[in-house]
Amino acid sequence: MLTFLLGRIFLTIPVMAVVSLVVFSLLYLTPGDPAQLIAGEMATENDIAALREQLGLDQPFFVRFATWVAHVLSGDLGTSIYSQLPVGTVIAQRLGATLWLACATVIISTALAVPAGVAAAYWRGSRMDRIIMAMSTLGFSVPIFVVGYLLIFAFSVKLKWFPVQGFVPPGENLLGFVRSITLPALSLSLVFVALIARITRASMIEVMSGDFVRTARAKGLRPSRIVWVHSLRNASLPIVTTIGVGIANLLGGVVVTESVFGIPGLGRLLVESVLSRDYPMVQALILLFALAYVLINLITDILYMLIDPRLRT
Amino acid sequence: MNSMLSLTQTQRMLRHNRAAAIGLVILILFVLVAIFADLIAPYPPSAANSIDRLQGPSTAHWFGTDQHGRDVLSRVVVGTRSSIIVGFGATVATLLLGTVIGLLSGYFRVLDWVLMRIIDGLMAIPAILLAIALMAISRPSLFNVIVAIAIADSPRTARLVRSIVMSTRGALHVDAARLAGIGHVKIMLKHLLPGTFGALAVKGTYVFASAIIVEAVLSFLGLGLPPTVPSWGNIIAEGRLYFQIYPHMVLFPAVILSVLVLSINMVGDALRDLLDPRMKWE
Repeated sequence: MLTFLLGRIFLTIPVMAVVSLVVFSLLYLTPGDPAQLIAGEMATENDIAALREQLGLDQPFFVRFATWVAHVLSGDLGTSIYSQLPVGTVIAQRLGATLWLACATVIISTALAVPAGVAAAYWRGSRMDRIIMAMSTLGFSVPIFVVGYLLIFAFSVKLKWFPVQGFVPPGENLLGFVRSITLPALSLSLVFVALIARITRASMIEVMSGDFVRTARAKGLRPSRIVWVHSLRNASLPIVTTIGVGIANLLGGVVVTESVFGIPGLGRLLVESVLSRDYPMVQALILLFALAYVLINLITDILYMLIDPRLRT
Repeated sequence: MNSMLSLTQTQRMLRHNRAAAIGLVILILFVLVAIFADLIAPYPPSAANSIDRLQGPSTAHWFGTDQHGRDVLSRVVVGTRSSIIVGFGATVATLLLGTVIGLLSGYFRVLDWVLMRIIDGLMAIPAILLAIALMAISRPSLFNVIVAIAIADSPRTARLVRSIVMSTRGALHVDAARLAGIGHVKIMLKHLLPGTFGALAVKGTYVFASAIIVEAVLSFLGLGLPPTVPSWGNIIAEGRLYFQIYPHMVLFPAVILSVLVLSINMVGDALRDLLDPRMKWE
């Protein structure tokens, strides 16, 4: 098990190496002179030349890449061109909102999708099953920002249950937090509800046709116990993987959701940084998102092993 | 039990085909609208009229007007063209790029290791974020949006093609071709490529749907097509400022976008069941 674990962790290294090369190349390929951009409009030729030397921009590609990687590894992500603050500081300010949004989304999607998938599997072929599966196809097709605006229109503009925009941290006002996070998390979760419900259904159908389910039924166990305890536990492997993959892909949706709902998180920060051509910020954010993606996949694999004792040898 | 199962399966297939037929008709309608957009649009899409600003839906303006008094229906109709062109262009580019990389990687073991490490790295960056990052270093234009989407989407296609090629590489007819002295390129194109067509057709429909969404998202964020080009994402981006009082500018293009994506997915699901039973959900 330890060798598997170490091997799996080791596998993330080449991935992150390629990611950092891609992310670094982004700045390298940028049209225009970064020194000019950092120095601003008012800088003289000499200022820019000095800055270029100071930043090491006159060095060859791989020297610059190595220097950059060394800086990143020591925790120095550079300085934001836009705010002149260290990139790490700005990211720390914005991280909270995104983490809360992601947590709320995972909770909502799991809470909605697993029961829906189980119900669809239990009453397979019924009208209920068909409705749940049709909703799931719909969930795959409606883009996040469309869901977001439809929800805002119905629940914020018409019913006035939720605020239209903005984010309240939970430390400030718990009720305000719940009100501000519900609609964004709901629109972000739709596609994952669709995905997780499908996998849950497929996995439950497979498990419930197993011999041990027939035995449990013959033993006279309550159907609810057979479904929720016996079957779901055995069906949970692909479900956990899908939730893991879901969280990893959620990172892309965060950008859109935060823009629609005006949440000051990392996704919003990425869009702002791209629009203001704040390249150090863009690099750091893409790197961070990729690192999160790789780590979530790693954790999913480890969880997979913990759930299934057969893999623990 | 068995006969019941096959009955529900048949019913499901029939229903699926009906869904596919509906999806296909809607998709063809969208393509026709894109081709004949200039004839269908009741007004020129950029004709401003300050008297008719920000009107709700009416008989003169079915989808209402925007903040410059431009007819939203006309802009949505012409915007269909942007969506279809980007969707089509990005799909062709993604499939081409992905197939070339996948063929090379699946056929030449030496190349495989290097190419797959690059693919793994690219796949660790969520596609939409990679597209955003690529748009950060290029100007907003139709061509750049297509390239950005193709680069972001092609790693997944490459993996698919690679896995098929690796499973057919050892087949007898491929060995025979190799022994007959046929060149690598010809083996790849004549004996390995045809095996990927079914999976590629299915993949293509999903790439088409996702490219249309990504274009709308990029334009919505201000990173896609230039604001002068009517596209659904641009219309929604402009409309969001007035959303609370005049939601029609956002809701009409948003719903139309969803209908197009849904119709493509319905066609894709049917194609998947037909051509690639391995990818079936059930």
